[in-house]
Amino acid sequence: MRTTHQILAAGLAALASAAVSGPAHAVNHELNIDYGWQGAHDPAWDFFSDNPRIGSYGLRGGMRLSERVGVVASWGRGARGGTVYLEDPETYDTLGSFDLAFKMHQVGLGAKADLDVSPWARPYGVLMVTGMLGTVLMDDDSDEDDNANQVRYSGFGPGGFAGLGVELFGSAPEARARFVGTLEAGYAHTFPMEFTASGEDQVGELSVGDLGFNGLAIRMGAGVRF
Amino acid sequence: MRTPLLSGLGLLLASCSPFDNLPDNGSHWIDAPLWDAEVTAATDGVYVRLPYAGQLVRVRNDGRFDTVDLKGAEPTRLVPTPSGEKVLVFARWQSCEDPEVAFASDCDEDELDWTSELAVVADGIREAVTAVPAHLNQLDFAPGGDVAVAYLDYSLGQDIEIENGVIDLTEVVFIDLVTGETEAVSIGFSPSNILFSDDGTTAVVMSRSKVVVVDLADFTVAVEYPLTLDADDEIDPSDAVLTPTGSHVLVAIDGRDELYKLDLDNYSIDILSMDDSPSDLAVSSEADRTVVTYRSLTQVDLIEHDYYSTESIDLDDPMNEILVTGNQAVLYNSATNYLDVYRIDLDTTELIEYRVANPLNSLELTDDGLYAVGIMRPESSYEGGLDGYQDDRYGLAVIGLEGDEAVSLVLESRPVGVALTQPEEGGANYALVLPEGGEELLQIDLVDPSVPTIIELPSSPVGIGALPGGNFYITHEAALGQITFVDPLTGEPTTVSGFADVDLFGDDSLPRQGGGN
Repeated sequence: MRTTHQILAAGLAALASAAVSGPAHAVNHELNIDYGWQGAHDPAWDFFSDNPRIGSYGLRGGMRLSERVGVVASWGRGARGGTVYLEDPETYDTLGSFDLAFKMHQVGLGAKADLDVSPWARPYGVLMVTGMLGTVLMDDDSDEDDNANQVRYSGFGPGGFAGLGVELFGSAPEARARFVGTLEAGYAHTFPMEFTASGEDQVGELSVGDLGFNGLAIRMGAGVRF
Repeated sequence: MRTPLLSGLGLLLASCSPFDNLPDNGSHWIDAPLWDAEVTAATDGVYVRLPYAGQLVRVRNDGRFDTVDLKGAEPTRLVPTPSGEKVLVFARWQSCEDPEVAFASDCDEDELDWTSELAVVADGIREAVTAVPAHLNQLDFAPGGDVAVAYLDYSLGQDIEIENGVIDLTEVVFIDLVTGETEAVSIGFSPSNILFSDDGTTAVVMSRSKVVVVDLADFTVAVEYPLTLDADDEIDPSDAVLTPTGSHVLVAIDGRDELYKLDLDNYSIDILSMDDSPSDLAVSSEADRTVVTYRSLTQVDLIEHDYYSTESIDLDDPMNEILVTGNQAVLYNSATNYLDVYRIDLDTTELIEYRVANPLNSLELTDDGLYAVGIMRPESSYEGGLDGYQDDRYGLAVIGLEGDEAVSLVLESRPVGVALTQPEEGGANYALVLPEGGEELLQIDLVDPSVPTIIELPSSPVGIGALPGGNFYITHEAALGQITFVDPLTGEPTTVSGFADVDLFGDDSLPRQGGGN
């Protein structure tokens, strides 16, 4: 949680800084903090959550290249997990348990085009290629800080996102920086990440399996245009 | 604008342990353990079944681990060859009658089938595979280890799997471990207790009311010995031994005061009359004698193999177990609360009596035959004082067989297991004892058993065993897998962890759908 607060604080600080120091002319740049989720329908996701989606928060920045089209880049992170219990199939006795978590960082780069339909609302479309760096963490004795069975696998999955959204402005068009709220929805797909580890105690690479994401993605955020 | 952005990124990259504050969004249940702590030791390491993932992992002596590719088959039981150089893997794989189906979950339940096989694994590689009926769950090996016999051991308590709608409870399967060829031989009902001649040319298989001799050159039945001429009479052999020359088999029958002597050269049967129903038989090749003990008779009989005359030696208590090393036999009683252990010199018939403090659960001999080490169990006692204290506790008995001393040590708690090893030929013998509930290992030099060395372990142990090379392995109570290797010469532990999660997210794809093995 400490990391979450740090990131949000950093994002807010950057937004405030942009709002007071940006040049006073047309809305050419954007900076958002956002939160959202994307569909998770891979059977392997059942290990991490009953909820078929993963939430994430992050930052998105953009720069206008022409009157209606710009380039956007984003970063987000999310985590999900819990306790996995091992059960004897005949006696139903609990044989043991371990903590299992999935943590990810996702970056994106793409294009955004908008329509100038109103001074206060602006619909847009966005198309991005994404890359997700996922980490699977397991720990069968979380009370022990240096438990030998803290196992870490990582994998990378490319993907993409296509969505439609709307920006709702909260300050006058002539302001040199305009506060904005966003809501967008679309389809996100991340090809399966093969989780491997190649520590010094292993012969070659070992795999714990793979995990991919696909489905509806929704994001909402707040930011500044300057 | 740059400064806040950079500081934000700096905060993003600020690192702490990824295992701190793992998310806790609920629970997930798996209906199997990730690994089976009943591991199998071989010369190249320890082989571990992963029941949930259906995988086989080799944890090597050097502390590294890898997976064994069984071509999609899931291991169900592992048996090492006597030399430890190979591991035989009972395995099974699933298929769907519809060849277009790729996943088990997409196949109609009545079209899903399991097929069993036996894989020969050496140095982590599947070398050969043979088809063996699924219900055959036990293996015995001929001397040299190139021929194995698979049979059904009903006492293991496993479910009997019926493939193709029918099984033959009279058959055993001989397996050539070099070529992978198999030969099913019908023996008689419930075949078990398989003996091999020292030269590896003949197998003798007991079954109900029948003993069959099989020629291992072509796996044909050389001769059958009926143990009764009355078809209504059911005779179940309880124990049997083959004489060192391979000329005779002595068979004990449950509840009968006699031994059947089968002449394998002249195909005849004699019956030796005994004083009681034998509880155990053992052969000493060096002394060329058979040792016979009884459950309730305070006597041990020695049978020589020329004329099969019997020499009886009186004991103070009945002994139901025999261990043989060289020309020595060690007798003990694991069934009742007798405290005597005997050693007999089979050449001179000299009898040495040892006394241990508590009844023995088990007794093992070191490879060089110099020591016997046993686990003693608590016994109910009306004695007070120090005798009562010792009676109430588990203990370890160490008997030096070259002398007449037996040391009875008191253990703090019930031992999870004991393993014996002699790391260097002619060198010191060690016993490693795992006390229950602790996180330590007692290393006992059998020359001086009263002063153990304590080796700290990373977590609670659940089992211990010896590797063919002289090292020990210890399995731990750890969901993700943990095994510690210990070199008894240095006491240095090497712990390997986290091997049980391999293929945890694997799907239910049918591995051999569309061919291949």
